[in-house]
Amino acid sequence: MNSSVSMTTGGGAAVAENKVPLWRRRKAMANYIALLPYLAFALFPFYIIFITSLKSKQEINNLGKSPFWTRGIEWENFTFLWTDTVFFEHWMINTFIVTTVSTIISVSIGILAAYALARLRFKGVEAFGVAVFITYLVPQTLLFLPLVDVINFIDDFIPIRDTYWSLILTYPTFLIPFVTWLLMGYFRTIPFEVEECAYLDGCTRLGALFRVVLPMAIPGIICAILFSYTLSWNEFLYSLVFIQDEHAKTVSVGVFTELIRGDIYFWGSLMAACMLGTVPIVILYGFLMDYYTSGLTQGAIK
Amino acid sequence: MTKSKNGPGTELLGSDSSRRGFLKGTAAVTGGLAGILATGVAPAVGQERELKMLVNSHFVPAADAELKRQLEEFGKAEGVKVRFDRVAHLQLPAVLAGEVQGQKGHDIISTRDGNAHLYSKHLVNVDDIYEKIGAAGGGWTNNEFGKGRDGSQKTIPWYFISFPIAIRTDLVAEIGENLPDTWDDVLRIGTKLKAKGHPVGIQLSHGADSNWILRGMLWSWGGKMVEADSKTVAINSKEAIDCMKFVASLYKDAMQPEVLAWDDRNNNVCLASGKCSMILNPVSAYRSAVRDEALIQGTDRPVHQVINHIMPPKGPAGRHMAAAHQSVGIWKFSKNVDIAKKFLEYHFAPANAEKHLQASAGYNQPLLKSNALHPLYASNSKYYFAPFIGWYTHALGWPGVPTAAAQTIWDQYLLPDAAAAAATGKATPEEAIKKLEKQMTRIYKRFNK
Repeated sequence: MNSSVSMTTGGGAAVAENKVPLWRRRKAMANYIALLPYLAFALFPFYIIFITSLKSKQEINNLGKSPFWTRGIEWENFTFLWTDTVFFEHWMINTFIVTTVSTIISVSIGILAAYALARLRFKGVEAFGVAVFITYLVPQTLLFLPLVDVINFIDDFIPIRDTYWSLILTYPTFLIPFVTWLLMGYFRTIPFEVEECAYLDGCTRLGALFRVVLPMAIPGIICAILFSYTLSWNEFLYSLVFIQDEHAKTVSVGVFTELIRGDIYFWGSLMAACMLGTVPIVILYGFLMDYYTSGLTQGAIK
Repeated sequence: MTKSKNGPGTELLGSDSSRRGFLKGTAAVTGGLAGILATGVAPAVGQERELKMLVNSHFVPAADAELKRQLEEFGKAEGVKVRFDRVAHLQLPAVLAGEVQGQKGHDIISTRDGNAHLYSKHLVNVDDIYEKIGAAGGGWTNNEFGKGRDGSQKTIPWYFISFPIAIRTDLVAEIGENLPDTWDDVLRIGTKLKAKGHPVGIQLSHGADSNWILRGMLWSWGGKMVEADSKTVAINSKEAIDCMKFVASLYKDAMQPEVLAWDDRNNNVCLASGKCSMILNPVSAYRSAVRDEALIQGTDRPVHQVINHIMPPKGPAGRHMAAAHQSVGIWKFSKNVDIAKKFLEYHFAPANAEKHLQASAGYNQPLLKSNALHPLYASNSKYYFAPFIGWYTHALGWPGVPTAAAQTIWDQYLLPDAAAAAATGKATPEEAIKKLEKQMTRIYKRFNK
């Protein structure tokens, strides 16, 4: 509004000032065009999931119809999830609880571990850092077998098998090393002099961590939260092995059990479940994208 | 609520609460906990018996519902708590591996093919109830299935899932052909129908269907993967090479390259969509066409009306086909072996076994002779093949028994890989078979130790 006023009242000089040069507009257009293939590639699976979830069974099975568009909108795949499964009633809620609690635990412990490894000087600190990284590299397909023993041992005293507590206990085994490694890099980008000033002002080490370092590390911490949340939300193997009770399952396993029956896939409902399952993550990323980007880049350049 | 004379909270410590009493109580609790932790054995007090059953999700949800109903009915009658759990069939091996590792989990488990052999030392011997159930059900159609490494019965055979040809009868009639009886017929008719846009659909990929069908083809040519001793690798033969040559011709003339990337669902969709002229598949392809109300393209006619099932084709060495064999077993670590056996007897009692069979809508093909000619199969012309296909059907590892080695080769999709290599020309049939022999020998060497 203001600019238009200035353009009409300020005369020709103001118009010339506000006008974007042609070369810049061309450059922007070229950038957007260059981005298009990437966008199409990245969003294509989501598009297909979305479109398929709105198709009727007949349309999905009709290979003569275009897979890229739908003839009409059908809600039968969503209503099936509502009426024939416990997708909303249990799986989504379980996944939300498991993901939230294990993320809180992992990020809390990861912050302390990363700070210690990034800032403190003690014997073997480098080796610890490398060990954390190596721990992260151990694949889940190997880790799940010893973890079964651990969960069974605990289950003898406190019944946690077939409850989401078994996941809340085991997810940090892969989340903590990841968060620690990510935040180690981020903490190293924060100048130590700032922390020293806090000590001179009378802060203890913990005080400096909570009052000075953590506020400066917010983008990195949010990045760690996002990654942890996504990893937990998508986790499949531990959930499969530790939980078989239908009502205690998470989305990833529940959907698989209920909607894939032998060689019959409830394809439309599978797509509907996939789409609904991504919504919380998309919302989370939508709100925290700026922090996520800066968290990743600042940690990366150190 | 009465107040304690010793102050708030003291009622928790008992009537003679005192500092000494508290210390004694604390010491007892701590000692008890230490004992439990040291021995690793939880106290039995207050533990309720719970019978837990794990199966893979059935193709027909009603079959799972009926099984659950029977389990609950049994639990009520016996006064035990019961739990019925399911996982997707492809995920069952991971769950079983986890339970074996932890020696904890369900009591009764659903197993497939070579699992009884693979988990032989972890499964309870069920010879006693096997005999009883067999006697009550008119005997078993296959006496080799479900045996452990020591030859004893480790699982109770449940049902098999056969692979007839599911074929579009209208398309075959249009070209003036009869329904195929041999693999040569399949090639000839398939070639003609492919030219009209209706190829044959047999997976040459990492899918269960591919594994079963290719074994059936191999046997139909007189080839075998292993000798009858279940130990000696016998894949490298003229018959096996001829079979691979035929697979290559079938792929080139009657199929499309998409079969190289198919999973177990794709052939169903190909048939239901009206594209494929024939596939080899359990009745699920037909049933899903019914369920999805799939139409012949460009018409209002339901495609299931023109789909029928016929026997798997004959090869130079006769008519043979493989099938998924399901069974149920009881883990050795189960604390409820007696009650688990009792439930299996209850479930396999003729009346209950029949209800389960009915609920599966013909998908479960019984391994008990008394149900082999069940009236269900006469109720729909699409199921006429069912009572007879068992004559030509073999379990994994045939002419031997389903072993852990045979199961491992199955799990690694070695035969589909060899067939795909021969079909696409990445290897000659001879080279593909030679490579397969090498891979199999390594696996059998490990398991034969």
